[in-house]
Amino acid sequence: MYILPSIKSSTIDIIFRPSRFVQSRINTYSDSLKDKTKILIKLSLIFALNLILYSVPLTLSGIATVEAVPNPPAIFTSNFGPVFESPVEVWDFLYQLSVNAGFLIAASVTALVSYHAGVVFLRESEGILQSLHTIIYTSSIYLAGAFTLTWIASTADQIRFADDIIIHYQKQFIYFFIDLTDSGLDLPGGRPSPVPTSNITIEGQIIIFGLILMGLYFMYSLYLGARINHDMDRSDAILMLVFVTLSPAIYIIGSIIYSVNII
Amino acid sequence: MDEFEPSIKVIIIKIGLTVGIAIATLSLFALNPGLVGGGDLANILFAVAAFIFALAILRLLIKAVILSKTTYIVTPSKLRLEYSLLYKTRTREIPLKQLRGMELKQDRVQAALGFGTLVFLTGGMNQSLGFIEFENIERADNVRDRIRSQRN
Repeated sequence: MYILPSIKSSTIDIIFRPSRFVQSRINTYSDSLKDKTKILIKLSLIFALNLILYSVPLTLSGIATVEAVPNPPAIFTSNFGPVFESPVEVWDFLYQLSVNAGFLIAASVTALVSYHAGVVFLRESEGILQSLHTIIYTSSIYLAGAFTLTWIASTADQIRFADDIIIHYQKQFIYFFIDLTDSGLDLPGGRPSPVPTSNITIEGQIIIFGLILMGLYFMYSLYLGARINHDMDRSDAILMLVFVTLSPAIYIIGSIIYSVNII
Repeated sequence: MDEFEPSIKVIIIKIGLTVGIAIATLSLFALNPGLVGGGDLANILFAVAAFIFALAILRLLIKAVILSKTTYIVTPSKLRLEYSLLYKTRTREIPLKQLRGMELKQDRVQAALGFGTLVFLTGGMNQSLGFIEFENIERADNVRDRIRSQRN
């Protein structure tokens, strides 16, 4: 008798046992296409549920991740006008919800591609489902948590300073590669000026604390996913992590080359 | 029937090592805040490091409590794990004739102290019922050989 692996996990594992949280509960998923499809559906449902849990409260809380919502298309108002009292508000909500969810989807897909590419590159792949399992679990919690904190930092006035620090380090990271490639490009707003690291409000400190923690948990869970789900040894798992960490660098360098040579 | 308990000596040593590393790292951060950005940023990184160490120590302490309440039993026909803590009990057993493989694991601390962890598999699944683990047992290789001869 073949038993489909359980993909349940407890909340306590998220903090105390990320190894149990990311592990796919079975060394190798079944070879049967039917079972693989079942697992794929299960994982997709988990991701969809987590996406809702992440994006709905974020949208309802009114954190403005969208600067301006376009007017609803005529087909929307004509169809939903009789159903809802205020179809424009519903449109605004759905638009912001899809944008909020879109950020997490894009980040998760990017993480999955770079993670699985790293695993395949190291010739240690136990299958895409193992990578999918790792990414869905890690991004649903740690990445979603980091995104939520970043949105809060960028919108709440009392922690605006924390946002300045986050943007400062993002810009410094990009300028590192601009200088490395000697491309002479400039980001909007120019080179970042030093941000004083004192006088951060308590709320801001909590946000940065949470962000660093989420980032560390995310990377550690990817490492554990490689070790447990792809049965990698320590050095290969670290190499895979380097590969994932370098992927934003590859993306930035690619964008610089594109901007200089093609645009 | 052999009955034995896992040692918590290994966990205590690991707690000691973690505390030592935590003190060294946190002292380094506290004495040289410039190393990690200075200002409030240094305080935040200090808090992150302290949180991670506290979590690691807490996890080891929980593991020590769980292991101290665990018993491993080897009968002529079964391998059995029993755990009981605050009215919560858990037993898991696998028949010897269904045993497909055994794995002996030793990390550095276990190897230095002469302990090991034996993993018994019946179906190859990580967390399924076909999986049982005897953690931190003394002379794990002897126990493995005894079980192997019992099975044959």
